[in-house]
Amino acid sequence: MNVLIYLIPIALFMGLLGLIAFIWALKTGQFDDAEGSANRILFDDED
Amino acid sequence: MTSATACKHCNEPCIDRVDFCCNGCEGAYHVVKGLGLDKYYKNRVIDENMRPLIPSDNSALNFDDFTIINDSTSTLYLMVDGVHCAACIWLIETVLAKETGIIEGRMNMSTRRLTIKWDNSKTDATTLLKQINQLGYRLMPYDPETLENKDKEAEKSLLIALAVAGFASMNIMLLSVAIWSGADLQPHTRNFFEWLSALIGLPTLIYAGRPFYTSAFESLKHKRVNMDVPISLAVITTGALSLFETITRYGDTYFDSAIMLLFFLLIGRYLDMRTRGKARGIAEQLGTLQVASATLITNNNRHKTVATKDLKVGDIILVSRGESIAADGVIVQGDSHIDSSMMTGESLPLSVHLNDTVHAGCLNIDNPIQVKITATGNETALAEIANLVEQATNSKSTYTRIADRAAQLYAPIVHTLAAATLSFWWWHTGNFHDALLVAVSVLIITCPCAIALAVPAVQVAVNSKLLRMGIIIKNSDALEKLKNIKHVFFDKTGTLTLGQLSLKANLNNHDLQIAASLAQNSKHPLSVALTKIFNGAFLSLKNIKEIAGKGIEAEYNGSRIALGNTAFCGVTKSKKTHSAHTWFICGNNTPTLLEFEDTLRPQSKSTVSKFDAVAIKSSVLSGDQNESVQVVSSACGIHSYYAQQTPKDKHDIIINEGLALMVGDGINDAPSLAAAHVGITFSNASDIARTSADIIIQNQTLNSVWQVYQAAKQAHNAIIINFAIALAYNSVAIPLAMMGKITPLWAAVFMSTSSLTVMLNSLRLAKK
Repeated sequence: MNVLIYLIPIALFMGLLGLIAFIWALKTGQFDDAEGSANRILFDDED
Repeated sequence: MTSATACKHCNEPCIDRVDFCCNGCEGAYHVVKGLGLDKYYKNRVIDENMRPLIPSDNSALNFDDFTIINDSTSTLYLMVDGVHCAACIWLIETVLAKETGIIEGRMNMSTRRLTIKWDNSKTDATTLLKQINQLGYRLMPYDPETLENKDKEAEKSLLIALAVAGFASMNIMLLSVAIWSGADLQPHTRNFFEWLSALIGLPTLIYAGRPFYTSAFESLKHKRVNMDVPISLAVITTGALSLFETITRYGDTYFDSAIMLLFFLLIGRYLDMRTRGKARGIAEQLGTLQVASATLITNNNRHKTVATKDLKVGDIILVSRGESIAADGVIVQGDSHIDSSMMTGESLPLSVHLNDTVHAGCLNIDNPIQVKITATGNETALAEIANLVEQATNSKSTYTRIADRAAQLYAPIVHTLAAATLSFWWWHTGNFHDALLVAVSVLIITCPCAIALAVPAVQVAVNSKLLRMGIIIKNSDALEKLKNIKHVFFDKTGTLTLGQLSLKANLNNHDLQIAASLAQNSKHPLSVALTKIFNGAFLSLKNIKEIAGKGIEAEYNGSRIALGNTAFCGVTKSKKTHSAHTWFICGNNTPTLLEFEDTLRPQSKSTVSKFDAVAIKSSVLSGDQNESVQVVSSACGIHSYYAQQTPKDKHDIIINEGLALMVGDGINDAPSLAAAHVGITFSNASDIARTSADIIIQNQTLNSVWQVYQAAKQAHNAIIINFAIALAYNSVAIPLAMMGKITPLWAAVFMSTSSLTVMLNSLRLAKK
């Protein structure tokens, strides 16, 4: 029981971090342009 | 050996020139080379269906109305026309990156939209975008607030609610499994878990349930019940009761059921919203058709360039060859041919003379004409089309979906049962708390998880199957409505026919070779058709001269050859014909009449007969002449046809008809497509038709119309079966709940299995 008192909240916190990361990505438009992201890796940049 | 090469910049044929088709393209090519970006030409993939990259004069385009200014930086959002592939994205972004003062220039490839941010003090929009214009891309600024943004925002917030509900339900389920598994839990451990569940669950219930609460509230305000009312009621009472149980440590908590319910429902909601067509604002789309500026002829006969929005009724403008007409008006000088496909759907040149009416957006093909303006801006026929489409789209959105109709029946029954359970148990045991527990479990078990998934699950399955067949469903309601139609209306050109001309006459191979070699030097639609028909090698000709409005001539083996009208080809005995035609003369031989006919779309006739077989009437609605419409109608087996219809005429017939299916492709079909019960168009149709229609067909056969009709009927049957499955579960679960035998474990089991069964039934549809 003592272990559970702090282990469960730790697990929940880690899950929460994942959720926040997803929401951040969605809000900053990371998912908006699937085709563009796929094609951009093929561009040659001038160095 | 051909005498036409492809332009290095825009890939169109070069006539009379080498390497480039016009000065604009030559300039653009040098800009690209000058910036060291000619990798672009190697990497790009030309899209045949797209408007070629020929630079046009957009100097009067005003970006100020749309520029958003924040202190020292400005932002502008634009739609870009002419983007073929990733190489174009690269080109635009690289060109912009080299400009001074630019902070950000980013293209979204999926939506073809450009966002630019720049430093106010160093540069401005016109300078930045001049380069892009010169390369041949057309730009149209838009206001992100109005265009699609609200839909995107709603979708995003729904996805966030879904993510939160998913996170919460999975974690609460972890804790619940521990409680249900009958593990040897001390009461304080169990209560700890219950408190954790409450901590996760309550904020989630409030946040993730918002879409349902707001929708239920709206519905109740109008004194109606929709699917979200029983959902909201169940979720809120469950949450409240479970919290109470946690505090008093009396009975079971149902947090997991409530959150899981929200999770499944949000999945269904999200899938449903994704299939809703995203419509571009019609007004903005029409903007791409109109020219930004026109040449005004002032009182002292001078020419002045003015912005289109500054034109007034009574002004006289000069429309040159190849220019689009800026406003509706009457010709006061000149004869020419115009492309009036916007109004009639026909792309063959229409001959116009003094006092004929011409419309904004039509292209002037041959000779310069002077037009006296009769209507501008919102008064033009083009604007009327836009208004009709908007009105039709707005009135369409009051359709009650099948799920909501089911809810109106279902909700009262469920609430009555719950109330009855409460009263019975309260009377029976005298304990309000226990009675409330039983009543709430009734509410939870009857919660329409399976019912709410019934429709979206089928829609997703059917839509993906149709997508594989090359049919895009923009608006899922359309699939529901499609099974009810009683009458199909087909447009003629571009719908029943492919808009591709084929030669009716029989020319021997030698003559055909000569004619085609001459024709490939002209861009007239009939010449283009003739060139396409001929498969061999082109001859080289001398002295090629195209005379606007008359024809094209050249010298071959010492004699004159010509393609054109009767006078041009020295025709003495003219033949009467209704088809598109031109005359061909070679040397001193008698001139030959070349008649062209439009090729029928594959499977037109068989599709019509399939609809006939199920007693659905077919008709043709066309802007073309009576005879041409009759020919095509009989070729397809359609007996009822309406010719010479204006866009408004077509729209009125559709409104009169009621349960009509409209199949069309032109701008002139847009009002009808929007007003019809269901509108179908093809993927190579005009942008506006694609926006106004509910369903888009990518493969080019008419049979797809029949296939999507069949799919709609299958979908309907599957939905009914899903409702039946859900009701079957309920009829087992409700008596159990009313008897007080339901625990949270059973509630979760029922909910999951009923949802699973509904999903499996829907997946059947995706297989075939």
